[in-house]
Amino acid sequence: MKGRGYSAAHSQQGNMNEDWLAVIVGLGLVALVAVRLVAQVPW
Amino acid sequence: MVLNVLSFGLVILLALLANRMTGLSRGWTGGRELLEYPIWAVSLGLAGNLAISLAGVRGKLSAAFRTEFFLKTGLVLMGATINLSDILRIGARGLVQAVVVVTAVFFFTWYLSGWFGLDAKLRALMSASVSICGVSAAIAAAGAVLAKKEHLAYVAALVIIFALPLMLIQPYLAQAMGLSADVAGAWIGGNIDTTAAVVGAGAIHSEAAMKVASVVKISQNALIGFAAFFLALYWVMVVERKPEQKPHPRDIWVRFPKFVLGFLVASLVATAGFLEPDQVKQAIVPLRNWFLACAFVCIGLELAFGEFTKVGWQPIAVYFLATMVNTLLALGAAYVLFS
Repeated sequence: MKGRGYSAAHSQQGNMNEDWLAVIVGLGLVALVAVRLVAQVPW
Repeated sequence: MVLNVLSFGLVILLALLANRMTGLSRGWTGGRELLEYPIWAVSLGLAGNLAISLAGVRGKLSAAFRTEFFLKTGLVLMGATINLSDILRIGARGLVQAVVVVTAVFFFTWYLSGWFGLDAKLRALMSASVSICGVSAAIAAAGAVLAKKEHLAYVAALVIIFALPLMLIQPYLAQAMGLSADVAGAWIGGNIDTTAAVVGAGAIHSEAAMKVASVVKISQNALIGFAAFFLALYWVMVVERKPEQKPHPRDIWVRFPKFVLGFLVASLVATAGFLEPDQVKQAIVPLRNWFLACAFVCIGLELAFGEFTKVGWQPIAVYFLATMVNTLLALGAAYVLFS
């Protein structure tokens, strides 16, 4: 398998940004439920 | 912009369809779910993958195929459904299990792939992904050994192609073996490589197994930073003999998966009484399920079938044997630590 040298910095950075975004969205939704702005979600 | 909206719309549409199919199939079988929602979601993702690949638009529509984002958000939300004391109880055992199983499987894969004559960087990526946590570990290992992009793409595809059958088989096998939810969850969490498939397999078994499997897997995820640091250290000191490029200990924090902190904070919020049980049941659990359904859809959409044509049979044989060893070791460790 041939390929160019890869620093992996791009993937690593993308992964970390996704981590923080998941924390913000997840905890944001928990906060909205806690203050009763979101009461019921259909599933 | 339009393509991003279309891509996101496709993920949401397939997740909605998976939810609908789960409900409809319940009607066909008189209340019992024919197939659990993770199976519908992955299957629809694979069907969508095939359809957009045949139409030649898969590359253009891939912007919202973000398995890791949907999964990690779902896991943060899952934190609010588990008491912090349960996380600490399961997590402590999960860490012991992770250290034992990860170390044994990593070195087994490392030496086996050397015996098969694989490229050293590919060996590092495969050993990390099969022993720790799939694609995330492969990305961290790729950074540690400066692997080729093609290696990472190939290992990511390998992880998913092995995780999917395990996700479907292992929960039913655990039920057939009469394992308790704790042991089944610990076995699933300690064996299946990629976190999304761990959560999916746990959900197929039971809600209790899903929580144990997720906490055990998150314990493994928390080790990524340490594993990547020691791998990078070994690489520059032993393989490349360039001690001036020694990694800094702060890399451990840089590579630490931050969603673990969100998971713990969400659990703390619920444990401290900021969420009533009804709020968890009526809002947090459905929100968690929607994010996880999107993650399962994305597993199917992201699978790159073409990667398997690029290398020979040896990496597949190594991955298969390593997965078998991982399965047996994880079962033994789960039984000893969780029964």
